[in-house]
Amino acid sequence: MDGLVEFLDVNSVSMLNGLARGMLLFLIASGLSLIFGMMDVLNLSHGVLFAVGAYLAYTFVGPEAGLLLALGAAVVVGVLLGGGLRLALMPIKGQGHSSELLVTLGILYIGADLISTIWGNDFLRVPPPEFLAGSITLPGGNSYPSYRLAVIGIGAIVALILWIVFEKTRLGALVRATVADESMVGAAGINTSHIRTGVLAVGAVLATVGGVLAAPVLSLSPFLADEFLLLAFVVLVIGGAGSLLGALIGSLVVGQVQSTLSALLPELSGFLLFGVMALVLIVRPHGLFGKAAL
Amino acid sequence: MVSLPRQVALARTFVAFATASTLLVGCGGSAAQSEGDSPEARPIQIGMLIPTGGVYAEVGEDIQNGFELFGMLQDDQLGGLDYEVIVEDTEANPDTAVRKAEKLIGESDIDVAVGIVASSEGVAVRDIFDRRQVPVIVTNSNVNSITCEDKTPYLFRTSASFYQQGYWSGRWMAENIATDGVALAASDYVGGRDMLAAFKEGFVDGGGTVEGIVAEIYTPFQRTNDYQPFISNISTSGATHTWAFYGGGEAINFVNQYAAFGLKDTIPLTGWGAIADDSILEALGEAALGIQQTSYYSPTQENEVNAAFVEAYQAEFGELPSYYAESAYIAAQIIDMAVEQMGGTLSDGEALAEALNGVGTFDAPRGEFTLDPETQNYVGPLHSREVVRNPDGGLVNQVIDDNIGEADQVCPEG
Repeated sequence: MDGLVEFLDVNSVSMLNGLARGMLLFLIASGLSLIFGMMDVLNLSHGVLFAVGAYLAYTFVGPEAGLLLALGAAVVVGVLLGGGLRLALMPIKGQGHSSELLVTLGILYIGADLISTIWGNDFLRVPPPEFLAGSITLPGGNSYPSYRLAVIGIGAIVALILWIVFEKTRLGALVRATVADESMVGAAGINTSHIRTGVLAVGAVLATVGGVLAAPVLSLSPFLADEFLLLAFVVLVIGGAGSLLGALIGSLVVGQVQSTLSALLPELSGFLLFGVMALVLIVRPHGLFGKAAL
Repeated sequence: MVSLPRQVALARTFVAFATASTLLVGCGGSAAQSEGDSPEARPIQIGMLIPTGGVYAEVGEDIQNGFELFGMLQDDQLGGLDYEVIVEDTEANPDTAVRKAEKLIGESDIDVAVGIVASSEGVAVRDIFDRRQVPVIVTNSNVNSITCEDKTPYLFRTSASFYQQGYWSGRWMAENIATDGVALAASDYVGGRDMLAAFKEGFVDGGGTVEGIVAEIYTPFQRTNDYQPFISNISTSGATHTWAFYGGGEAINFVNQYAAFGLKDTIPLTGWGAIADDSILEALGEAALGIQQTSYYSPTQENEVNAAFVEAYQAEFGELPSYYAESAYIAAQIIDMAVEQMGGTLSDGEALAEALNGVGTFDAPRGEFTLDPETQNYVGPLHSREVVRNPDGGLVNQVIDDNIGEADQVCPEG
C-alpha cells in the first residue's frame, strides 16, 4: 500500500499529463477514425486540419480576443475544409485506396506549404488564457499546469457528446446504419450523401478544434501537420480504426505510454510507442476495438 | 482589367526574376568580363550550401546575410577580387547537401563553399570536398569528427566544435553555478551525446564531481514535443540545477514546459546558448527570464569590432545578427584574408586551402579569433550570458563574463 502511495506521489504528474495528451490525441484520432469508418478513406490531410487549428489559435489569441474566438473560427474553418475535402474526393469515388491516399497526401503537402506561406517558418508560441496560465498543487505536493487540466476536462466533455450523439440519437443511428449498409439506408429514402458530408465536416471540426486546444502546449511550426498525423495513426492502429471507443482507448494508451511509461523508462522513450504498437498488432492485428484491418 | 493569361505570364516573369536574383547574389559579373584578358582575375565563385525553405529558412537567411554584409563593407570584393555567390538549398538534409555540393563543384566550378547547418550535413559533405580538393568553410555544423579524427586540409570551421562548447560550459557550470546536484538533458543524437560527454569532462576539471551529476537524460531527437516525463525525472532526481542542450523548436518546448511544470524557480535552468538564443527569445517569453548560458557569440558583446558589425547588420537587415550570421561574416573575412595573401589571384583549391590555413589570428565580433592551423577550427574565447528584461520590456541576452576561457582544445582526447 505504501508502495502504491509512493508510486502515485512520484508519477501523479506523468499520469495526469498522459491523460491530457490522450485527450488531445483523441480529438484528432476520433475525426480520423470517423472518416475512415464512414467513407473508408484514410485521410492523410487530417494532420493539416489540426495544424490549421493551432495556427488559428495563434492568430486569434491576444489581449483582445482569446481562445474562445479561436474555437469559433476553428468550427467554421473545419466545416468549410471538411466540405472542401468531400468535393476533392468526389471525382475519384470508387477508384480505391491508392487514389485517395494520393489526393489526401497532396492536400497535406499543399496545406503545409500554405501554412508556411501565410504564417511563416518561425517557431511560434501561443500562451494559455490568462486565468489558466498558472499551476495548481497536487495532493502529493507536485504542481501541474492548470491549462492542461482544462484540456482533460474539455476532452472528456467532447468524448461524452460524441458518444451521446452516435449512440443515443436518431442521427447517430442513421450514421451507424450508413456505415453498416449504405444502400439499405438509401432505399429507406434517406440521402446518404448528406450524411457522408456531415461526417467529414464533423471529423474536420474535431481536428481543427483539437489544434486550437493543443496550441498552448506546443511550439508551432510547419512540421506540426506530419507530427500529429503520425501519432493519430498509431492511435488508430492500437485502438482499431472506425471505432470511437477504439479511438478513445487508443489515445489514452498512447498518452500514458508517452508520459508515464516514458518517465519510468526514459532511456527507452524513443522506442516505447512503437514497441507497444507492435505488441498490439501481434496480439490483435485489427487493433483493440477494430473490426477491419487498416 | 488585366486578363488572366497576362497575369499568369506576369507572375511567371516575376518568379523567374526572383529565382535568378536569389541564385546570383553578389556582384561584379560585368566587371569581371572587362578584365577577361587575365584569367586569374576572374571573380571568385562561392557556393553557399544553406537551407532556404522549411523551418531552417531563417538560419539560411542569417548565414547569407552575414556573409554578404562582409562583402558589402569591402566594396563588393573579397581579397581585391569580385565574387559571385551561388546559393543551393540543402534543406538541412545530408542527402540533399551531398547532391548540391556535387552540383556546385561539378557544374558551377566553385572555388570555395560556405554554410552547412546540421551535424549530419557536415559529416555527409566532408568526403566530397576532400576528394574534389575544394575548400569548404563550415559556419555551423558543430560535430566533432569533421575537424578531429576525420579532418581534411579542405574543411574549415568558424563556429565551434561540440567538444569546445560542452567542455567550457561544464567548466563554467562548476566554477560559477554548482559543483554538484546537476541534472543534464539533451537530445539523443551525436550532438547531444558529444555535448554531455564534453560537459562532464569540463565539469570535473572545474571542480565538480562525477557523482555531482545526479541525472543524465536523453530525449528522442526531433520526435517529441512533450518533455514532461523527462522534466518529472529531473524534479525527482534531487537536482538543484539543470543544464540542457536544445535548439529551435525543441528549446521552445523544453523551456516553456520546464516553467509550466514549476521547475523554473526551484531548479534553475542553464545551458548552451542555443537554448535561449536571441532568435527564439520572443517565442520563449517569460519562461526564458534568468536562464544563464554560455555561447561563442552574442550581439551584446562589448568590443569595437562587434559594435561596428551589429550597427552595420542592423542598418542593412533591420535585426540583430545571430551567431549563424556572425560565423558566416567570419567565413567571408577569412576568404578575404586568404585571397589577399595569395596576391589577389586564384589558382586551384589546394592553394586556396593552404592560404586559408594560414590566416592566423584576427579580431572578430566575438573577440580574438584564431583559426587553428592544426584542426582548421576556431579557437578563442567563449562567454557567459543571462536572459534579462530590456528597458522597453522585451527580453535580451546580457553578457555576464566576456571570457570564461580560451577554448583552445578542439577535440576530445583519444
